[in-house]
Amino acid sequence: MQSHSCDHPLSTWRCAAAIVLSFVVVCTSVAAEEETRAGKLAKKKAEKTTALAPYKPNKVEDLVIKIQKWGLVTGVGKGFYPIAFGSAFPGGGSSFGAGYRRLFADTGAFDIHGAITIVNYKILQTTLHLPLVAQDRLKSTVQLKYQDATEVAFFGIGNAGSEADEANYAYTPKSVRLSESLEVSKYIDVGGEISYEDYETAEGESGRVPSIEELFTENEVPGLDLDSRYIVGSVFAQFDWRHSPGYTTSGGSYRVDWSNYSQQEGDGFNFKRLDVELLQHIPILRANQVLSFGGLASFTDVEEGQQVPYYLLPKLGGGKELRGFSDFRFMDRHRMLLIAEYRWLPSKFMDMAIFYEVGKVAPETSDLNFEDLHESYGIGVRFHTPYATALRIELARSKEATRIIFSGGPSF
Amino acid sequence: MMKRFNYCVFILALILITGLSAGADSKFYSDDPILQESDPEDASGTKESEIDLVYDLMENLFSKPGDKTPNVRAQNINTVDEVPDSSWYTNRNALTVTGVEKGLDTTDGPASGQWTIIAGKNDGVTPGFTIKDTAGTKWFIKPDPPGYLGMATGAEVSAGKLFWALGYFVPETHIASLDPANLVIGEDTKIKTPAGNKRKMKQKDIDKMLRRAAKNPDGSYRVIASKALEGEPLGGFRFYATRPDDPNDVIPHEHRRELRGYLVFAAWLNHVDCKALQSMDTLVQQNGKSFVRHHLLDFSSTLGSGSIYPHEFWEGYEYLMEKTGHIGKDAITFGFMVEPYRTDPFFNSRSVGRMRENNKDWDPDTWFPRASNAAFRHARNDDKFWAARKLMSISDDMIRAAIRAGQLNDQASEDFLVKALSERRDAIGRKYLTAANPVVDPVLSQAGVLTFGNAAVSAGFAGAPENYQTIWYQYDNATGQANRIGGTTGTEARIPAPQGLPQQTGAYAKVEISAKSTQHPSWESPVHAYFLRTSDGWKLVGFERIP
Repeated sequence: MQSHSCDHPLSTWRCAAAIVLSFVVVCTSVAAEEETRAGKLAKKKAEKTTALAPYKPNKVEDLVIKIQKWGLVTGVGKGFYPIAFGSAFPGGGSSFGAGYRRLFADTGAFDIHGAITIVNYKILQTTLHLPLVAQDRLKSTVQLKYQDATEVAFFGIGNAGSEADEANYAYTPKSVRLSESLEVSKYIDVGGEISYEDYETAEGESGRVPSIEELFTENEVPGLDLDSRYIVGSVFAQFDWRHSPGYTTSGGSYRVDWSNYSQQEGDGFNFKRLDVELLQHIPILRANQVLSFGGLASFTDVEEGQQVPYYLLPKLGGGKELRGFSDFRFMDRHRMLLIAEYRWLPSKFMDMAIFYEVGKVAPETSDLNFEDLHESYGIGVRFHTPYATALRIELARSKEATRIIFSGGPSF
Repeated sequence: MMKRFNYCVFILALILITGLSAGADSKFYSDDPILQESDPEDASGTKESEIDLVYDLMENLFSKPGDKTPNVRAQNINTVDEVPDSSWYTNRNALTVTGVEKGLDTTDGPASGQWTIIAGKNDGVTPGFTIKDTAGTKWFIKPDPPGYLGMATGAEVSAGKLFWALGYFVPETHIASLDPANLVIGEDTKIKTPAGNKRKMKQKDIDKMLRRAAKNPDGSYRVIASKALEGEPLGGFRFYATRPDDPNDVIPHEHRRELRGYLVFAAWLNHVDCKALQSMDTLVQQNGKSFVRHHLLDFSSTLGSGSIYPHEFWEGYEYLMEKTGHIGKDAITFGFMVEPYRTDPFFNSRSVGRMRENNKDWDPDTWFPRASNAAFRHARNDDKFWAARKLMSISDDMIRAAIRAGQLNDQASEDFLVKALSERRDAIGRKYLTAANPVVDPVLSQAGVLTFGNAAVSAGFAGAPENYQTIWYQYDNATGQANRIGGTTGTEARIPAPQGLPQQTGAYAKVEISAKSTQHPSWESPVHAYFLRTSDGWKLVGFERIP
């Protein structure tokens, strides 16, 4: 033990020498590490080795990654996804539900989703997008769709139907369809569709207004009480030079659709329908403002003794056509609608617009003139990506009502 | 016994005081200023980590990640206000025109003959794939978009050379010609489909990619060939915090001067897409040791190119997301608040894309990337001064050499780009070399005469100030205490020190140098220079433009 003490006179010096020596060693090593800038930095780096960890995303980042997987950002997600917006059927309000999407091959997708709205409308839809072929120019889609709308508004047929005559009916369309679309060139698409469609109607469930059969007779409303089934064949051609159909500030789209409704299990309700849509967007000052114009005309044609059931007549009123009027406010054999919008772009993700639109429905094509036009106007804001409109909120006014519109797509 | 004990304690205390005083937080160390920051720790444990594009964009558009403290001086600079060479940055001190033209090229591009595709491109907006040439070298191949031959590829090569010249690690890139007949798909080559599945690559995949590519007049495809970076890819780096698995990454990225200065260089080259995803860390092995090297890459959205389209009009003028106040004002004025980019003239050409035509009057402070980042937000005037000074070393001939390397084959477009970059460089110099006190390179002679330069005046961006003022101090490196010796004034950049300057070896002197200029009041904020007396005279060991 003595050898470890400083009691001996010599050991005082030994002890001191030992301390000096050991401290010099320590100091030298510390000095080598710390008395230089490089040493100081090296020490900091050495210290970090004890706390290394892989990058861990935070909760928000995790959520953003999940949202992308659901496809809510790009629209090409996969797996289960929630539905918290959109509508199952016009007039049904916002819907809530869930879906599942599975992608296959290179460009194929299977999607199934179901939703219910705040007024108990329902939708169940499954779509099979077959992989694109012919150098990705030919698109084929098979779709099964079921909708259940329990209180669809009806105001009578004709351009002068009274708002006071509002009734309602329950409407349950079901369909299976095969669609083909061919991109002929960068701007030109043609396509066709064949579908089997089943329409059921019943007493309206609205407690606010009477059911349709309480106010109208079969003479006034063709197809009242008619549950019909159709094989529908249709073709279309479109010249579309917009940036994107979902959102654009320039270009135009000119489209013609023709459909043949062939009634199954019965007669008297065979008809043909022609829709013409012309849209044009004129940018001003590099799209600081945009003047947008739209024209829509629909015509139905029947052989003698045939009619168009009321629920398949061309209509006006609602979130896209004569927005100041209620959904399905006007219906008849033919319709026309003219829209003008002045849009301005406060942000790259938000547009605003003032719109004015006029339209009418008529029993004869010759009546589609500029007399007795219904007017609607308003202001709106649209939130969008460069390619799609995510949300459109509009305040629309007509002689009958002031309406607030929430929609998930462009006005046109 | 007590006496002896006291003696031991005394010796110990003495040694402790003496020993530790050298290691205490002195301002200067014996190796200051360091010219090289080394990576002594083994980083082989780092793992690849992808940055999510959407989150990165949202984070930088809607929040301000990183250090919230304002006005923080860059932390990776040495004591003379410069960025030492590191795994992030290299000072190119002897830059020549030939050097810029060559850049870091070690080859002439992919070897001729068969190109074997070894991977499809899974990210980004442009089509592309990875090949191995007959020499066994791996290259990333990307074409120009249809209708814009030379636009993206030319921008990639030219900007890459200039970023290299400015000191960053970038990939070696070349313009190459792709003949589809020379393409072979490797046996194990996989491609990730849009559906997210991986499958074997097929000829139709190549055909599909090439349908989105611009063709040369001879039917071949003009492509960019970007040589695979040395080392194992680890993903991009963020512009804030540090990489948590890299032991050598200890300076928060927002406080790295070369990343703050990147803002100035990005503005110069109109690199609007300078996000974190356009960077790449690689794990490099050298001398048996692993460390992470940090690169910038993908410059196809520079100059007038937006990679797959020409730049949008707004790009470079504002962020992707405007400020709330601006949105509100425009909303209530029905769009009659017209932004400059709606009316400014633009240069348009197939090989350039779209770029602001008038760059002489351009104000770099009005330039914005699509989304900012933490390093850009922290950039101070001393960071921008550093960047501007680096930029001023790029001559017109160097710019021309870099643009020529882009092989636009369009003289008017090349001439425009050279003129535009030259004018933008000068605009940056005019702005940032004058925004802070521009005194540079102070030298204190053995006889006690201080000489220095004025970067703004010597570049012709400002007139000489009315006078320079100096205040001298004797500086104690251990305590940081500065005792005033006196002040001197002169109209030239040559001012003698006052009497009383310490003469003993190891002594420090501090001098504050300011300039009186009615045009530039900011010059009155002094720079701080620190000199160490050595046996050879005075050595500059410290310099602070904005302390």
